[in-house]
Amino acid sequence: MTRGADYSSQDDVALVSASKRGEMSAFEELVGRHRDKIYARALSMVRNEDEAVDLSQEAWVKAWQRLVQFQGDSSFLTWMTRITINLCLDHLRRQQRARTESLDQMDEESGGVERQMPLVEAKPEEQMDRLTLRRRIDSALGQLSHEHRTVLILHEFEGLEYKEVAKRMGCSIGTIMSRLFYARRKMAILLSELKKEGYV
Amino acid sequence: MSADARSKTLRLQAYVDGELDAHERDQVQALLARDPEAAALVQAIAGLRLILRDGEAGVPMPISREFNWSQIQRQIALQGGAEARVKDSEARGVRPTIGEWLRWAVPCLGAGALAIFLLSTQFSGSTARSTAVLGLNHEVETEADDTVAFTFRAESAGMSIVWVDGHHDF
Repeated sequence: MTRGADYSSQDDVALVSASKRGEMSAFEELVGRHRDKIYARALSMVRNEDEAVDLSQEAWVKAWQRLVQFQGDSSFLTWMTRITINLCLDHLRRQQRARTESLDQMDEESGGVERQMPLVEAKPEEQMDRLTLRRRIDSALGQLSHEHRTVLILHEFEGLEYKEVAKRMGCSIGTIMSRLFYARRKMAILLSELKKEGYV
Repeated sequence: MSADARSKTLRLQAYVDGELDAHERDQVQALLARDPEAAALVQAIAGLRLILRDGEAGVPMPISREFNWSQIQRQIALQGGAEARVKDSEARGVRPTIGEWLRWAVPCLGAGALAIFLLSTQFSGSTARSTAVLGLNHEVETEADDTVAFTFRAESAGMSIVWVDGHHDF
């Protein structure tokens, strides 16, 4: 590919190939194309703008260094998101070690999973302010512990199965199921407030 | 809550998440038919999933933040990105450049020329029993009886090529 090629018109596959050949401009186009999504995922996990910027930046550097490992089994964005998630998990683990909170203890103290969960249903027939709803969901996510939030993000938003979430978080499937239930119940409680406001 | 009740609750959740096999799904469906509380929980989880499906906020990166391409580029350079690219090329078997070819070709050609020189010196220093014609005015002598030589002379290039076969079998 010649210098000064029009990268903006090329798809991710072509840009990745060019990047693998060492063309930094192609990689720059990939960064520009996906940086917001990568940042958003980092922010959803760590809930801190500065940390999210640093982590997403680090993710791009790692991606460049590991490009040869990307075989195209998934989309580039999916691969890139996985790198970001792993970095965020490492970051959260380091933070967790600094804290004394133990989620397992927390679970035991609260008496294990409860069976009740507020019913939150979407009503498509009603006019809904989607932006407001998304903000409220984001706000509710921010009120979860990072373990609960991470499980929810990996399962609901990234579509990972229990065993994949367990592998990434380094715990048992049973723990993941328990955390997921807690996370959902808390979200349901927080979002049930929206019901009163008529959003759902 | 007992361990049994806890297990049942998590199983209902796994049902909504599609994590059960066919046999387990049948068991849960039978339970849902006779247990309104279980059915309510399944409905609540499914409802929440529906809300969350399209509910994740897409947050653009703040423009004021210290994130730009030059920073990433600098970090790549600092963390040995250039080395990584070289390894990358090697791993993918990228063809060597002309310079890389020349690096090997020049010594090989030199060694070949030296070998020809030494060979011709050895031939010219031996006693004559058979003779190979070299060009118009030169002779190469060998001790072997069955040595055969083929000669090609290119006048335009001012060059002669001699192929000496010491193992010829007629």
